[in-house]
Amino acid sequence: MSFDVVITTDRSMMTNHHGKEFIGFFTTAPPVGLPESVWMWLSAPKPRVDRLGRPVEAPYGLRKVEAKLLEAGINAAIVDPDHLGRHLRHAKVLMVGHHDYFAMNSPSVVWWAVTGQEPVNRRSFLRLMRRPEIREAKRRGLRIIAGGPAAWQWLWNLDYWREFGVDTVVDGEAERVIVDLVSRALNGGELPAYVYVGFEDAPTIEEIPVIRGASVNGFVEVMRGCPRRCRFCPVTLRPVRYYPLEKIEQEMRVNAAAGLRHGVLHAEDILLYGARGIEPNPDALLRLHTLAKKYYRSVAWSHVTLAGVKYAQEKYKLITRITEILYDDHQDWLGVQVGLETGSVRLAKMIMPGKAAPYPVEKWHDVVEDALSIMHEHRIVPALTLILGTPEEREEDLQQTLELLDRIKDYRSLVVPMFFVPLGYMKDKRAFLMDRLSPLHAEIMRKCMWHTLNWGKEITFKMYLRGPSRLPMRLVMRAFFAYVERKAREIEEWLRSGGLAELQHAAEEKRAALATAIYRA
Amino acid sequence: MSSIEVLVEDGVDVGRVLREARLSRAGRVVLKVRAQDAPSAVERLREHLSDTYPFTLIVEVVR
Repeated sequence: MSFDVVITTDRSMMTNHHGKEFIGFFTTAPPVGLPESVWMWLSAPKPRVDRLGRPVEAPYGLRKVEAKLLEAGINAAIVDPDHLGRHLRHAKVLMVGHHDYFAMNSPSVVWWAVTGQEPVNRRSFLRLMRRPEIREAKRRGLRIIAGGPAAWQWLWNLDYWREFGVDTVVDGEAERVIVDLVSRALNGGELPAYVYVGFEDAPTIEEIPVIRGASVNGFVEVMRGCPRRCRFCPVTLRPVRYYPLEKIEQEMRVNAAAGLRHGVLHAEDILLYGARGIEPNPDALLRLHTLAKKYYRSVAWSHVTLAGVKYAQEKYKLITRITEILYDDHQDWLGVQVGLETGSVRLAKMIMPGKAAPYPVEKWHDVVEDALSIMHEHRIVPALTLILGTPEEREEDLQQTLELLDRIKDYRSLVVPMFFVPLGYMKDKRAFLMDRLSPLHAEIMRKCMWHTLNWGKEITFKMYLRGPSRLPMRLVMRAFFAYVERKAREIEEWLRSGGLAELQHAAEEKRAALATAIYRA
Repeated sequence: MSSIEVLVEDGVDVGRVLREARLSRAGRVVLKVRAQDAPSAVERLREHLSDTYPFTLIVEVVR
């Protein structure tokens, strides 16, 4: 059986990360203290595939593209990268997608800048595109279309664009444009170089197809867009749309039929599912979680906001009510990614005025602490992300972030510092590549490191990797933690003995090289 | 949905074209660029592509 359109991505994406989506973060780093092959096994094992090389679970974004093309009668399939050869002999179009093609997003760019080594997601993608079977098919006339949330990175990697022979890059929600583009590619027609899908072309809920095959770790989107309007986030550029429960159930049924027993509910702020503005809709949320538990033994959230947690609990006791639905013999905790972003009220007003709503942004520290306290009590584990190097950042802003980190040290969480990447309304600003690294940045990174190591061990061994089947992963993680702690102490000692000045100097020197490597301009 | 097509030649102020398209509430803007290949066309317009638009922006190569 052959396909006209083959959809794929590299191993760092085409994997279920051992059924633990948080382990996917390891694909954003270089292989620290381990051979790359071991690092890849640890973070991105090969998925189960059928006899045609189609993965049982595939990235959700690729599933949406596949479904849209199938709906239009186009013979398309997602194929694992290890099985491309036989399909590319017949395929006319190859579509690739990624959330970080060239490791330009955070946290990849942080690990790259700090270690000076390319993260494995980038290495893996470049290896994929240099495979002889792709080159051979390209010589025969294969059309290549690239898309996904990291599509913008091709603008800064024109030599790779040229080297790989990419015909078209599509940036944005693709549902309204992709069938036309692929039809033109199949018919040998002219293709545009670049398509940026604007707000006006965002698909309606009816135009968004139901996935036809299972998504990685049972990932299901429940809404698109976000009303909070943070200026650094591209999602705010899209209209807010909620999936009806019937449509969500159809996707959960697809995942359950493939044998998945765990699911991730995806939204920029899950507590806004069905909301009017930022006022939660308790009935919609309770029905959503009840539905999820009908199909999945355990459920995670992709994202939630701290203000959303505090408000939903204080006004409706929603955190208690939702965890009462979720927690049973199969699940007694919940993981989620949360934007902490900054401890600076001044910066918060500038870059995320709606993040604390309905509370005043001046109360940001109280909002953060109250929300983390609620999450701690309800065994909700946040991976908090902080942005360093925001344009206009001052010393006083970093001081406030340090104060906030002190206030939250007793709450079970991970804190990951991220370097500012120009996206959303701040697309025209300058990225932070450690060239403006100050002692306060270093201190924030040091605090985050120890916070994450201390809580990370408890979360990993007491919550995340329990049970006999997780023993090999636990052993690897124990060795990894021991290695990172030893390294962390060495780095602290080095910083105390004048290492910071050396680092600043190296960062200044490295900036040009990094900017060239990362932005390739 | 209204659509605007512009051939980007010397003397054409792309920034102005895009600002006006934003004001005119165009649904799609097609910029046609004389270039050897897709990356060369995009390179010529990159500073304008690093922005956010309400309309769909398409870059086409004219050989």
